[in-house]
Amino acid sequence: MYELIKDWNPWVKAILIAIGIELLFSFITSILSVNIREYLVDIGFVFALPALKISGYETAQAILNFSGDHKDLTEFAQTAITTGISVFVIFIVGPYLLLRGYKQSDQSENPKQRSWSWYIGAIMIMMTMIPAILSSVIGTKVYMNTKESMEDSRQKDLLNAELMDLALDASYKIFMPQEKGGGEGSFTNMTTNSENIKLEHLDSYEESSMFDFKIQGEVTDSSFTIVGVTQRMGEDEDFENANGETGKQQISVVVSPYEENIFTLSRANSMRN
Amino acid sequence: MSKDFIWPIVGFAVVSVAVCFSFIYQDLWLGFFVALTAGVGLLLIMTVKMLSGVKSAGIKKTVGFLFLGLSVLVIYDSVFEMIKSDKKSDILVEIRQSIDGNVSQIQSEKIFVERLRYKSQNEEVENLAEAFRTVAGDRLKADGTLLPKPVEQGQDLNFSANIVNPDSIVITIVADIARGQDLKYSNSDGSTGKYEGIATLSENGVDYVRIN
Repeated sequence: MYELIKDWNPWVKAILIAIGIELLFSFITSILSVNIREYLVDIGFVFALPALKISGYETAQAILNFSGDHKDLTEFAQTAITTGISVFVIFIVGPYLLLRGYKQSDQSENPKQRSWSWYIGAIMIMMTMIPAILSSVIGTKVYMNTKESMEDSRQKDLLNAELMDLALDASYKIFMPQEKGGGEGSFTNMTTNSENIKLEHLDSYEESSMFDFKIQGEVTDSSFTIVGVTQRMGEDEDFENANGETGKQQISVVVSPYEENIFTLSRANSMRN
Repeated sequence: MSKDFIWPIVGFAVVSVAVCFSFIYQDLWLGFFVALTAGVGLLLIMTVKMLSGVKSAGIKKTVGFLFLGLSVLVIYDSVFEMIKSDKKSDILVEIRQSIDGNVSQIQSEKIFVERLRYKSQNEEVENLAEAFRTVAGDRLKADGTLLPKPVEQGQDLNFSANIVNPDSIVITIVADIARGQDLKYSNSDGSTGKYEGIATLSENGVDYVRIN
């Protein structure tokens, strides 16, 4: 048993040194000014997770595209070169030094003894593998949570869009003549039967929608409220939804075409944290 | 000098060539994955060659497991990061399209609702075109460009109105930034591949269609 532990001693040392270097590195980068930190972080990418460097660049690029700006191409070249050096260090330099160390040990009189070349190679490999393991575990978990909140957000956006369509339809329908399905200036004077506005009067209303829509409260001459309910649970499980269900996320829109803001959206029972 | 020293030199040359793919195709992920594939391939060849003279089976086994673990971890993390990064970029594009699409639909239909409201409140107004011109005032230019109200400025959307006949008006909206579905689409304002929508006001009501 003692012999076995002794055999693994160099590995334990290499792992501890790698962890020590990484902790020291993150401490130093946390106390330095932003400009110097950027260069140091780039050196960090050379040893660990080069894909993060590209991902960071692509995200910054997407944000700039979002606001109509374009990124300096120097950053592109810097990212390409950094990741190339990273692949060279991770797959060639580190393993080469380790293999060289093993060869020296194998040919020496004491095959258990490890050379400086072995230690540098082993530390470099560990400096890649430790963050890679952490990133795989933590990254996968974070991604799953993000996917869930993204679905919530997507549903809200879709519901917002459908409610907006309904509100805009109602806003022009009120001013249309009755023979064209309008209310001639009032939501209580719709169609030739002079009835209150119904969802069925609105061209964009579809019964087959993935959301449940209801007209809530009183319909007046100049305004009324439409409520949309999703199938996803909100933060309050006891919340009473407009469609009789409980705990679902809900958005309502007040349609008021005589006002400057012809409609106003408001959320109720938003997503759970 | 040991003949093994050739490996870092060959490695540097191969990875340098692989990185060139990033510049040739202007795609960082492509260049990176070519370099990664070359790196893993070279690692395999270098390991086999350098360990060919080593007697210890333990060393061979340890190195085999270690390098396999290293390659799998780096490849897994890289693919995972690329998927995440692509998704993030797609989401930002979608958000921009959605914001511009919604704003363009709301603004254009709101313009029509205001005209319909004006006409319904002013019986002397004969048709929709007259209501449209009166409410727009100086903001409607001779070439059809409809300038936004001061509170609606800075939305990166261009509105252009066309009075087809006294009771039919068409507003075309082209985004400055948001991309459309077809990146080669020729927009009505001369730009290419941008979001474009058309809102129509007629006696039958208001309609909004996304063109690109």
